[in-house]
Amino acid sequence: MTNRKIVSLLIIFVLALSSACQTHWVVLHDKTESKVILLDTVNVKQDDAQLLQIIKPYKAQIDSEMNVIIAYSELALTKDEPEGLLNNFIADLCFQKGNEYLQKTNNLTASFCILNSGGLRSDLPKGAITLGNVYELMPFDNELVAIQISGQNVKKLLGYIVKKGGVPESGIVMGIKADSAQHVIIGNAPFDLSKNYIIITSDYLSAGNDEMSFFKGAISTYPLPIRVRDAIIEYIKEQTKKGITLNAKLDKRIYYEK
Amino acid sequence: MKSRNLIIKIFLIGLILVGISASAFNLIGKNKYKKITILFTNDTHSRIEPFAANDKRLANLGGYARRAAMINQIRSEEKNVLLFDAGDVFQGTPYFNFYNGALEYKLMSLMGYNAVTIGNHEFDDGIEGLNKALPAAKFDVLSANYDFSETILKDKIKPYKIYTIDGLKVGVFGLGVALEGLVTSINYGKIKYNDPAEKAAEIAFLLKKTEKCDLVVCLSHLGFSYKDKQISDVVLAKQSKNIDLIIGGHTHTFMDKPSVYKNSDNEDIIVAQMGWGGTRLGRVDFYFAKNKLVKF
Ligand SMILES: [Zn+2]
Repeated sequence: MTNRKIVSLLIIFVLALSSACQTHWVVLHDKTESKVILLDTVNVKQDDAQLLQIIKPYKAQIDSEMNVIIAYSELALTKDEPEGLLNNFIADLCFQKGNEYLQKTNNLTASFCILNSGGLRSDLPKGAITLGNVYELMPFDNELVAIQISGQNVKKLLGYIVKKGGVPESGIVMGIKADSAQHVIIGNAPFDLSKNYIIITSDYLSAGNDEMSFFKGAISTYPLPIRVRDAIIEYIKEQTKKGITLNAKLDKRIYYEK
Repeated sequence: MKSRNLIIKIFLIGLILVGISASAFNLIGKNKYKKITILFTNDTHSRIEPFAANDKRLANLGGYARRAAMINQIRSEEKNVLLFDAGDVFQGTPYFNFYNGALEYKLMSLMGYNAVTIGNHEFDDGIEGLNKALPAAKFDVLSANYDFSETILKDKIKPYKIYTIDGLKVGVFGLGVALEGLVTSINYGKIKYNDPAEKAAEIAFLLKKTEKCDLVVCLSHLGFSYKDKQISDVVLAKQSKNIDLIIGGHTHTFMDKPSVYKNSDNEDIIVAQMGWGGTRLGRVDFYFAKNKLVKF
């Protein structure tokens, strides 16, 4: 063998080897391991020092503004279906606050208030309530609005409440039976299909979001000059000023009929 | 000259032996594998700090610094780690009201996130808001079915990305939920929403077949599953091909363990979601073997 032959053989061999390396890899699905790691103080003994350090000044600023206690609550207010303590508390106060502003701006009164369950982002704890708690409950900058719709559309709204298995509302008492609304009372009177109704809600919902298409054919809309979150804060602060601790009741405003 | 020939011959024989033993290893299979560890979160919702001690459901769980510590620990144990998020990084605590998402992205960059997709709450301050927070993100923001071409986010968000790690190619793409009726229309402006299932099929084929990725991961903010027939991670998983893992979000679904489904080719596909609030970290370890023997 000449050196040249050997060198060329070597080159061929190395090429063969390297092309062999290009055979690709296949995932072994039966070997796959998957799990959920709970991020609690048992699994993580020590938080990352670098991140804590970076967060520190941001946290200091937020704490100084958000750790202000604005009220005390008799009990934890949590979301539930068909009604819940938090649902009732927030819908009742938005109904009250919304009507106050509607009176001032348009000299009108709404018949009820409806919100969406997904819009209540966090519970309110028992005991001290901070401004931060309210921000976590209602982080969005949506504003309160009053909207007038036909009885036909209110009927669709009632169907929506049924479909969702209950939503935060105030001013409606209704049963749910076999996928339809039963014995609907709005204010103090039975629901009247031929009547138009004024409703307090948020501008996010009055735009027809979260499947609230019944708001799309509105007769009139009255924007109210307050954010939903600010309405909550305003109400809570007023309660505290009056020396009242926060409370809510389940009152069977939405119930299942047998 | 002769002695030099001999050396070369010995070297050649040695090489052949190495080649044969390498192929023998392939035959055994188990001794020759690669491993990729995929870590993920979804719907972390500006939970920079752990949940408060008086939280009814998630007391003392989560927090960015704790997540970072767990990720660092896993990185110290594993060679090939990729880190993803399935969207809704924004909104839920005053941190978002104050700093508009930039802090979340900054901290995620420090944790070494590779890619995230876009959740509906990423538009809570409009397209402008997301655009302002984006410079803090030193990772890829992926969406295959939102068309940003007529917005200021044009060219800033890619449909997919291929990560090469330990010689393995991992293709990753993002999918977003329908915005109409979920996000106020002025907030999403001129984003065009394309069918996520169609885009998923197209991109997954491209990644697995054309680009020859060894693994394909979908970051989805479609939601885990619904009572009606609307597109969800479970619906997508069952009708899909060429996807190995769907990292989901949007429905805030807590699951004890990621679920395994069969795709339309009767191959395994994993669907996982980690509830919300950054209270959990998902982990999937994939093992790979060579699929062919070396032929001489
Ligand atoms: Zn979310």
